[in-house]
Amino acid sequence: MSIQLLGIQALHGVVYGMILFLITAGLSVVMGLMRIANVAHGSFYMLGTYLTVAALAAGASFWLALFLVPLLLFALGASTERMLLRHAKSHFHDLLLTFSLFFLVNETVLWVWGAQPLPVPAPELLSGSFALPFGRYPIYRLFVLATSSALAVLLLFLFLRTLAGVTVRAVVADPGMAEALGINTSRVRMIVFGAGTALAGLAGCLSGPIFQADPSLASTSLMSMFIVVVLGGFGSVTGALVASLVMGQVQTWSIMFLPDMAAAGPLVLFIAVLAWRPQGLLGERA
Amino acid sequence: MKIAGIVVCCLVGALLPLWLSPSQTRIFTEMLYLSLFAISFCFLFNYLGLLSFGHNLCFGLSAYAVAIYFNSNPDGSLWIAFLLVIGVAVVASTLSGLLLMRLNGGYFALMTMAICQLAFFVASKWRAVTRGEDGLMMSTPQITPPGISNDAVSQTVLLCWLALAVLVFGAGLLAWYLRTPLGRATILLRENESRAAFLGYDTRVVKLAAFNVSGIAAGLAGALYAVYQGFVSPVALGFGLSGDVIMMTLIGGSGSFLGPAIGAAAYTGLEDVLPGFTSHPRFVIAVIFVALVLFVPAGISGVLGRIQRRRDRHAPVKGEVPA
Repeated sequence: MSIQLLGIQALHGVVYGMILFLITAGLSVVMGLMRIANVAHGSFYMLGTYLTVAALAAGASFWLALFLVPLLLFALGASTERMLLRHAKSHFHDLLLTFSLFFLVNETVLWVWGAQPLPVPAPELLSGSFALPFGRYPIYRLFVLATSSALAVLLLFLFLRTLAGVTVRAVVADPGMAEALGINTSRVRMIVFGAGTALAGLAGCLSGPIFQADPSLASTSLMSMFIVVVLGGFGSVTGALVASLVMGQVQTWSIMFLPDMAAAGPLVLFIAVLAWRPQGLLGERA
Repeated sequence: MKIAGIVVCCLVGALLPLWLSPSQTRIFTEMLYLSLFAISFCFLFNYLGLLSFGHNLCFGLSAYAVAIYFNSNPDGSLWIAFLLVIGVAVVASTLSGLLLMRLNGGYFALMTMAICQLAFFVASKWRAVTRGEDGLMMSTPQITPPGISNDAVSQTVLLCWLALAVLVFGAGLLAWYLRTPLGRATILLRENESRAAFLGYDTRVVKLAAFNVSGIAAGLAGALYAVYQGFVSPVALGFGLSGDVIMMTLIGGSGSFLGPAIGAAAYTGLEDVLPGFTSHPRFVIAVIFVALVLFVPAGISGVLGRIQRRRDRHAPVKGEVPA
């Protein structure tokens, strides 16, 4: 095994981890805010990829899709919160609503785009590969890495250093007290849900050329998402970043060394962590 | 009154297959074992307050156990198969229960999902035993009840009767369990776990016992599924089936054991009827499910109960002289 191959694999893991972070950053905050397992999040991610396919088929450029898809999904997410989840009577009811949305989106995708995976072409500008010290690497993946890293820095800054971030963290920590202090908690919930959905859509758009548009994307990605959120702790963007990068490496290396067992590694990790710490690895509350 | 209703339902259910066509009898059989599966899910959901996203663990493992047993002993007895299934269900629910005991709410749901996914994964990869994704064909056992000659009644009808008997046994077991002191403690745990602990109940024992009883009922349903299909694949452990059982329970309503049974029957019926009207039956089911969760959260049995109560209100109360 050459050192070049190891370098490429590690980089693959980082790119995958960063995509996972874009998906789970929103999910983690939403789960912290609403205390529910949002099962529909995987479907929003998949919808991001399929809307990119639709935009490209309609003649739009990849760059326009990259801008439009998150916007559409923001609207979808915000209206889901406003019109469905806000009226839920209990946590179970919440969970069931997201569960039914999961099925609805999956069946819609199967109906409109069919069961066959569809390719998503990367833009011309980013095709080809780039020479790194340990070998050539596809430019498109480097672009994904750069974009998601920039977004991660922006998100962490927003979440930890601005008034908006403090507001969101206050609502996660104590909704009643936040409301008493004059924060419009239901509006915060709506915007955060929309933003989280938009991030998942953006991740779907960015990862399209790497993973293709596949109708099983939602259910296969669901487990890794929940593993990341539980490992990182509900409501923590920093935790989601660390856990995503760990998951990226775990998956890449297990695919390389134990291709048959690759899917089991993260599951065993998840079961072990929850059995040992029922509140998640970095979570504080039980 | 209640017992009379159950007896009438059983009699109607037993006579129905004699009147239905063989293909209708098969659908009715499917409804019966899925009812038991949904009731075992509802048992945890309603009486312990825990939502499982991987309730088909015992169901799928039992189906595999039955298939493997009949493949190695083609002349094996159904009684031994059912005993084997109870053993598998007890082991599986105790082991998974040890991991699940301390978890609640969303964490519980995700852990059940992870455990079931792991079982799914093992079933799809362990080709020597399960034949992986291809699935395991099994030789269907002959059902030979004492006192009935084999020519008089077809195997299809006998399987339907077997499913009915197992449904009555499984649902009876769960209902009986809820009346025992341990079963009452299950409901106490749902209401307030820390208070139950202060009262001296070992909450871990109460939970494990409930997991086991529910697992046995699900396992019996899984055994029927294997015999009915004559084929077991990783689908029996897949996330799709975990979702189906949740939908069935909610379509029917989770307030009693009647709800999941109605839901399983309605769901199976829809899956059978819809392909005649639309090319995307599962899309229609998804729409119906969303509408139900939004507008009729109590399910079909909840609506029936409301109608019943309204009628009772208008009826004169016993012993009171109408004005």
